[in-house]
Amino acid sequence: MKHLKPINLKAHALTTAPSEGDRMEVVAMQTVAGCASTMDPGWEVDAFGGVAALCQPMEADLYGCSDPCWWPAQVPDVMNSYPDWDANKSSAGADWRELGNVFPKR
Amino acid sequence: MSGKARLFISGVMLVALSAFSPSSSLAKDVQGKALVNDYCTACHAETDDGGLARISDVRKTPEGWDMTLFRMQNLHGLEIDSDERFAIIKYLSAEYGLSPSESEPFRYVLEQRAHFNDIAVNDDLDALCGRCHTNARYGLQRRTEKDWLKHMHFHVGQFPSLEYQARSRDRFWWQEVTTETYKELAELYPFKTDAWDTWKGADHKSPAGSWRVTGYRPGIGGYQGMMTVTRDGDFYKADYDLYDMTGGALSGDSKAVIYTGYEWRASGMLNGAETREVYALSEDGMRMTGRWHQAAHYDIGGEFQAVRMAGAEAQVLAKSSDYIRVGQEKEITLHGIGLTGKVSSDKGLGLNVTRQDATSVTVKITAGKNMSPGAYVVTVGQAVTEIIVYDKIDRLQVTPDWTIARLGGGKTPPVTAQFEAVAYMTGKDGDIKIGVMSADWQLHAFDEEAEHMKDVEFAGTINAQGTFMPGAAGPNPSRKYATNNAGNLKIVAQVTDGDTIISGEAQLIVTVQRWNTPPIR
Repeated sequence: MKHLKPINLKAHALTTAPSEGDRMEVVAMQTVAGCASTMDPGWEVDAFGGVAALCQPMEADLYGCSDPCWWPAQVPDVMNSYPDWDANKSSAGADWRELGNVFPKR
Repeated sequence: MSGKARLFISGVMLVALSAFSPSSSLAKDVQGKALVNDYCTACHAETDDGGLARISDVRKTPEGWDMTLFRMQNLHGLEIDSDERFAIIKYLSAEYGLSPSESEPFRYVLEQRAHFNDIAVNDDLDALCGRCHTNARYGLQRRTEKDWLKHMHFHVGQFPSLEYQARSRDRFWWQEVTTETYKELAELYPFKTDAWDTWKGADHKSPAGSWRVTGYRPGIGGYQGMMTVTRDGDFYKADYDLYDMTGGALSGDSKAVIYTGYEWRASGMLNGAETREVYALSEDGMRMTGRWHQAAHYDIGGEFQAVRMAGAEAQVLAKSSDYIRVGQEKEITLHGIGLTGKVSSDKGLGLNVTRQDATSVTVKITAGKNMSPGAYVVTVGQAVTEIIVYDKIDRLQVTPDWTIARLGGGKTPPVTAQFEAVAYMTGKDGDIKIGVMSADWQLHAFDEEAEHMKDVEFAGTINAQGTFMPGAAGPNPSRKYATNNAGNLKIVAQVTDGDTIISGEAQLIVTVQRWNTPPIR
């Protein structure tokens, strides 16, 4: 890194990260996949124990969760497990009523 | 939602195993073994010791095996009909199941409870497993060390984004799970245990017989009566003759399967509503305990306890009320077994028996004006119970003190929240629980944010029984940002005690629905 000069704030933060653990944190945050991955808002409850900081209405970014397998315990991931979960439901905001539970009722 | 103790909503409305519609052909374990050999060996190779790769390294609950079969069907092309599925689960649960003592700490998840405390073994497992799952999810599995390691590889392959999730980014998680965590899990939840070896070889008792039933429906109250269980091939039929504490009938029946020698799973009807039952038969075959719930609403159901009539000692199992106020007269019915003996009290509580048979005793109880508050022992022959005499309520506790409800709509039913007001009085050695009281229920904004977003207006309503019914799911154009009808609410209960109003509070998070709904979350 000593021959490279940081030219933006993130690069600067990386060079000044005092320990390896903090450096990894700076690197990992480069991955952007939607509201959930950048904000980590929580699914049920926000970081403050309430709901005001949740990503809501959640339908606005629901497919930003299901596409990249972000909340796989709550939202069916269409990346691997349930590729047809949102088939023919292009707008979560309009089609949320048609989205079904993935584990079959017996 | 981090931290050791967390409440989880245990998902949607079904016990996967309890609602079979099996045909008249009765599945035998031997048939299940043959089916496993037929279907599973296409991918799972035979091992040197005669087992099958992966399968023979894992032990699970019936629900766990059901989820495994679902995954094989959903992802790996397994095609089986419902009878075959039943036979395979029955065989695998018998051959590779959990003993009663192994499943006991985590029954709250099997019982589909909407509200429970789910406590991780430590912060690391809470971060690595508990971020997505209940801690019961892995606590209800037993694997060899090498299979726990394979379980780590499975996760990163099936759910690759876990690499980037919060609580992965702050640690070298892959290094951790492939060098430490799998060993820790193998130590906590090992494949080979004395408990399982002993249970597998034990004499498993039949549930057939006559049972004395007592139970409780939160928000409604107790119930009691009889259950008659008869064998029907590989299944059992239960006929219920139950009554609530006001004498109202609760009639119905169910069809049950016993897995692993003790896991009672049934589907039935109670007063016209379809039900599911998740009970555990005690190792000596003398008790069954668990929870039933409505098939369409796992959050609505009741506690269940049954004691086998044959050979049972005299005992009081339930009461129509637990308490009486100083200076009052009150009729209380004791329900139990062998209640033919003399009714008496040790400290002068006024008792006048108005009706008595072997299973119920109704007593008019008088608590004199000068009686000291406290617990008074009441005996019926050899059966012993307590009646609380109180002079005033010192504290009101709302239970649960923190929980979640979920919005419902479309294909996702709402998840209600049930609160109760429990009164306490201050005794010499600390608080004495008086019991559940009728209360007036109110909703308030929990904090400034909730006030600002008018959560009380949108999130739902609470009725006179303390049942919170959440609002409708979906974006709400009437709300700021068209946000969902989520909310952060303070639940307030008020009980009038003489001239005093006593209040208690709880917090309720009203949150969004979930669509991934396996029986073990």
